[in-house]
Amino acid sequence: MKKVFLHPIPIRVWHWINAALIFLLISTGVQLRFPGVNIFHYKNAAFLHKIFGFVLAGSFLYWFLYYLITGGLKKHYVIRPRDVNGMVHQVIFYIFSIFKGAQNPFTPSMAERFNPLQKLAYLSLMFILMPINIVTGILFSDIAYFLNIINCIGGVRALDAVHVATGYVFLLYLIVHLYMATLGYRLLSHIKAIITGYGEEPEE
Amino acid sequence: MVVVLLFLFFFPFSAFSAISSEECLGCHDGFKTFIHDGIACQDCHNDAISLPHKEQLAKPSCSTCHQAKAKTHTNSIHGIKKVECSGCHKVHAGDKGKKTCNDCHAKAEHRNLPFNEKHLAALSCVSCHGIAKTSVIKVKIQAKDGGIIQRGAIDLDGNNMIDAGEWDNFQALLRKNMKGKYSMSRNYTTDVDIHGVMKKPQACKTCHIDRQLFGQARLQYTGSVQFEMSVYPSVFIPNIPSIDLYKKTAHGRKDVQCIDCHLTQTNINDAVCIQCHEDIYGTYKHTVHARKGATQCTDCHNPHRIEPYREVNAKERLAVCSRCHKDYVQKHNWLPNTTLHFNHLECSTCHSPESTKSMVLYLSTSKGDLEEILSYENLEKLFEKDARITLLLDKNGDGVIDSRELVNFFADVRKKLAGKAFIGSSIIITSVYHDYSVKRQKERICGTCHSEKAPFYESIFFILPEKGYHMYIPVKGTILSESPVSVFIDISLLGEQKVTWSDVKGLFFLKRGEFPRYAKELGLKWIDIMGMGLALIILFFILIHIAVRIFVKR
Repeated sequence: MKKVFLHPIPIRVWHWINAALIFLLISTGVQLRFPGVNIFHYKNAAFLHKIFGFVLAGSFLYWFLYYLITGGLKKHYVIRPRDVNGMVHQVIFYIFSIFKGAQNPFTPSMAERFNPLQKLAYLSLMFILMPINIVTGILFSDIAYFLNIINCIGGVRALDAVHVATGYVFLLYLIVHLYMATLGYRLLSHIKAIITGYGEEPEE
Repeated sequence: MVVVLLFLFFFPFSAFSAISSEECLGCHDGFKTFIHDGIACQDCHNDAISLPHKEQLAKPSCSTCHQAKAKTHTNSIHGIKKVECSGCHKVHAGDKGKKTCNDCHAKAEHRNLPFNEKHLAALSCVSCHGIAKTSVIKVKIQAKDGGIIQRGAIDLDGNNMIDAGEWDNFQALLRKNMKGKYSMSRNYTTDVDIHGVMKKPQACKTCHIDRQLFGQARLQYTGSVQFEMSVYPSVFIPNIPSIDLYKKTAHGRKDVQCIDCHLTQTNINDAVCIQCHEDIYGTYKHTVHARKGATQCTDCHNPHRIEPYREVNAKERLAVCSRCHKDYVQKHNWLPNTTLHFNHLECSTCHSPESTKSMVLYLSTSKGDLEEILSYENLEKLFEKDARITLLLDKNGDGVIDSRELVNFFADVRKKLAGKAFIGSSIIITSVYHDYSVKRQKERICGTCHSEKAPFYESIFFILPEKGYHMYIPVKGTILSESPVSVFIDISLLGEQKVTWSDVKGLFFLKRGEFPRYAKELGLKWIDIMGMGLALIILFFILIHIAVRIFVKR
């Protein structure tokens, strides 16, 4: 087993802040969506959801600027034609080969951190869903102020539908993400990597 | 020479000190108890230069020293009627011999003053007959050992101001929890210059309508905890009818004359009301309420303050019931968020099932933590005097108010109030069935209201204040529902749009061919169903994955 440096510190810090925010936003969001449940006081949930939302917007901006300045958006996130083939291999690995003890067809490195499936997931999440969720969230933060924009989109009900739908996708993604974090070289390899920065990989 | 020297020696003495008080008292020994703040006889009787003094001394003037008081006295009814200082003050007596009002006006029975005994017991003469600089009602409650009432139990809405409802609840609480463990005193204190007794006493309205006098009431609680709070003065000094206000009431506007009801000088009875309101009387007379509680119309309705039902907001309606049902908050302690509920409901929302319930939305502003419904007067201040809200709303002047105009109007109000405007809501009765007696003690089901099937969703009104009345603009089934008022609503329309268990269950018990209609009915609830459904499916596959991993030990 060898150790490979994968995640620089700014990204690791961002990851955990982002993780905490997503968790808090989902739990306050559930309270807002279903007043019958009792996680928070409704008024507090509304207030916290708004605050955490703005912090998330800030944290997203930080993430985006980090990659823009250091470069790597293209390297890590953009899907290339050969990745399509890689996706098939990746799916086969997760569904069949993993149980036979086969090795992951993709080995992460500083040059290319994510496997093709991850690329697909993160690309859609960070470049489509997250911006949509943040923009709809900001519009929700002061409905009267953004009224004209909201009406152009199709009213508050449509806005609500989009915001909640993207919220559900985050929830679905979170479940998968948490589980797949245990599918590294060893059970905790991926988790160690995002804490210490060093990933565990098999010897060549 | 000696004589001249002696003269020069004695001259200043005799010229400036004249005679000492002891010398005066040598003859006038009746004035030995004289004090008057330590002044000498000569300070007033300054024409007694040498002894023996001339037989008739000039009358001293009090105003030389007591300028302000003398001036006040001169303008007062006592001054006008030439009652002199000595009429009340015996200046040579030890205690200055102050007279009280009673010494001269012992027979002031105040026969024409309504509730004269109550008034005379609570107030000093000058409270009404003088000009008070300050006045306050001081209520002191002294808790004895063992009894504790916390601030929050009195000030239910936390606005640091006790209203009539909160006061009644507090009294009920005192009687229940602290019987014999407290003492209460109420004082109507004024700071009045007693020299300024007026020609005419204060008018009733000074205290009972305008509240220039006793416009403040303070509650002071002492015991193991101590605190002070303000109380609305109307809790202790009730409002009285005034002809000016009467003209603005429903009766006044419909030109009901005083003599139409005041046929004799006795109190108004039901027979008077029946002249016009026979239908309602017919309904009400058979209800439990009428037989056991409020038996007369006037028990609930003050004929001088009658307003059309739609002009009375939820809080004011609640105040009518709480005049008798003082412990209504305690009686409803089974209800979660009791005060929150009472902020949005009136009693008959639940206790008059045959009346039509509606959700009403209104413009509000926040004053501290308190919600205040924007009245026409408030809006007038924001826009211009005598503004017609209808005209302000109908920007394009087509005679119809559409949702865009309403939304823009709200945005405008919000801007003028620096963002402090929002839409408040109440569930109230909009069409009355005059039976308020239904108790529903066993039916404590939240879902009656907290569901999308709640009856009031069928009848939603937006209330806008217009000069002299309120406009009720229906929301459902009008243009407002297309781009709904909820565009700028700050409340959660409970149950609407959000999936419930019954929706999900309904999916599994569909008959053949029902699915398309049901699916359409669910509308945006599909987001929840799909989201939660997918989450469950994913969790299911993850569990299988885990199971296989454990099985192959990978």
